[in-house]
Amino acid sequence: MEFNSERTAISRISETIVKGGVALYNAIKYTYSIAEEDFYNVNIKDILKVVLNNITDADCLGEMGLRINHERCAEMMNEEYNKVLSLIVYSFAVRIPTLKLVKNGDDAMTDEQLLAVYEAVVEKGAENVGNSVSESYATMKQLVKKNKPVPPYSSDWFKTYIYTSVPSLSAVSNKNIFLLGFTEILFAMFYSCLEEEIHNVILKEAVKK
Amino acid sequence: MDSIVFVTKSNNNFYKLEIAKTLLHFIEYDFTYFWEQCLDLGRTSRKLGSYSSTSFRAVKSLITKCHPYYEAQINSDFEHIALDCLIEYICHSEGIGLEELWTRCISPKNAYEKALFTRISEYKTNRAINQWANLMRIQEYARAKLSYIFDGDVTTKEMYNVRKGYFDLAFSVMAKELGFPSSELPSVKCYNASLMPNSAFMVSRVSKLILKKINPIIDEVEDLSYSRNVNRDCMRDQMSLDAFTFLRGLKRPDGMELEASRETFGNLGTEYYLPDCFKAIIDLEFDKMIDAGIFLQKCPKCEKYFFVDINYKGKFCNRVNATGKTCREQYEHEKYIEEEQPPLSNDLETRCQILYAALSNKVGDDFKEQEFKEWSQYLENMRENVKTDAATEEDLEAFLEYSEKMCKEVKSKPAARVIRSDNVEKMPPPVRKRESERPEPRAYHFPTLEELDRKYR
Repeated sequence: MEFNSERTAISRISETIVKGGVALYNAIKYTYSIAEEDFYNVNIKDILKVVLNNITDADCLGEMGLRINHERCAEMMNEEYNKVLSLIVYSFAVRIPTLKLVKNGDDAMTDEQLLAVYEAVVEKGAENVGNSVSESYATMKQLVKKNKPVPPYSSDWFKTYIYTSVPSLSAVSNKNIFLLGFTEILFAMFYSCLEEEIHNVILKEAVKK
Repeated sequence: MDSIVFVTKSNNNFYKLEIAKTLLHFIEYDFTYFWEQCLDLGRTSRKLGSYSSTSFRAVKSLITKCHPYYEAQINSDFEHIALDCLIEYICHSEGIGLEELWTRCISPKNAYEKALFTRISEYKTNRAINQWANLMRIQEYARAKLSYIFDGDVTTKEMYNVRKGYFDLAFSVMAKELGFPSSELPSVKCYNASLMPNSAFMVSRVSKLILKKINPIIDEVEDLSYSRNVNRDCMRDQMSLDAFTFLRGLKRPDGMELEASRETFGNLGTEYYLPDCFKAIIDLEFDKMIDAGIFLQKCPKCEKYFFVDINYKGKFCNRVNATGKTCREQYEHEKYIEEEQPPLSNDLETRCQILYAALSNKVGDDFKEQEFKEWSQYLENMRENVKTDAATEEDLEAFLEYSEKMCKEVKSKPAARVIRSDNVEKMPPPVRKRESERPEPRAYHFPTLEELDRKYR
């Protein structure tokens, strides 16, 4: 695809992906925090509305008065859970080949451009910790090339990682069951909105046809 | 007892409330200027996309004197009242609900939208309510309760008590039927100075001396288990007696400590009230009023309330009104005029009526409505002056003669009615306003902030 400035475009696209990752990571924490004392005060639909309307703003839920601190999400304040951020960004990164389907007229991004975006995102810290994310850049690239449907984005890898690596969140408790439930919905909806945002960034940076 | 002292959880100050005076002042308080300042601030903030918390805080201070409870809670419950007023106005003027305004600001583009979003989020998550709307509702509640108890003729304390009791009980029954838990409805706690929740800080002079004495004991105390999540009344005794266990050997104060205690407790009252919300303190004031035999009655002239005085059996208050007299004086004066002053003679009265009817039919291009209004006002004043001996009947006659000449000179409107003296009874009397011609009042349209901005540009 022809961009006004290819370097800027790649930087902006990769930045959007990383910011989206941080936003999702924080959204999980904020939502988990309501289970401590605000379960019946905060409507989960409002949380979803705010998150989905501020897809790259990591602190939008802070404006709703929600707080991430040791008191409210102690179970997430550990080194194992911190790695979830790298996993989230990685799970977005492996889907970069699907951006080949974004067209500016007849123009689409080349494999080299897509790889450059992927490498930029990995450079910023994306990592498949414990191989929790089963998909990879290569497999996604093959699926897109063969015009096969790409599996929908889900929270399966997240659950796998929690069960295997974060004991504080894998214990059976009210809050943890709540976590598994809301992430199921949040991940799918979030990725859908992030995808749209990335498409907008691509088309904005592309040369007008 | 003419006053009560209350405290609040948000600070360590004492606040005084003058029984009945505070209530009267509150129900008559005019919040218009505050409201206008909030709108001005809102317009500026919206235009600049900014939110100056300093300016909004300054505006909230404009109504500090409306009630001591407001003053007490100005930095807690009423911290954001100016923003609340603005939110209420935006919703009302644009005909939108809170949800729509919140959604509009869900991706805030500037500090102004962020402030609106944050505040409405507080409403949605039950951390706050719109305190401006609350203040208006409390004022309305106070007025309604006052009217319920005190409207009508002055009666006995027992009757006022019955009315108040009935009003309060109706509230309790309704709240119960609506499913509101009674433990969460407004209430006032009563303490002595030493057992108030913040007494350790509020009676600090003596509590510091006590602390010096008990420090050694505290150092030896092992950690007591106290679960914050448990909220049962049965735990109150347990906690209190656990604390008392360490005071078993407490000796009486002596020497300087005794002097300090004597001075401090000598200056403190015996009762302090801790209301948990505005309605609670309003209800408390009503209770205290009636208990103390302080009653109010409504003046039929100015429709404001005044204190019942055992030395005055009438219905009117002693406030000076627009005439420069008090309502009481004005009533006496009008009564005197009615009783002592003779009415106009029949001839004069008839002439006035005929002339009025004739001129009212001539209102048109040659004789404007405004001129007719001025003339009829002058006629009315002349009639009053004659009745009160400020003018003579001759003066009135001279005016009528002049008016009759003028009437002949004014061209009639096409198809004017023929005026005959036997039709006089059918003419409207001079003093009545022409109500049938008054246009239907239109509902006031509250301009939106954008419209206000265009208007003042």
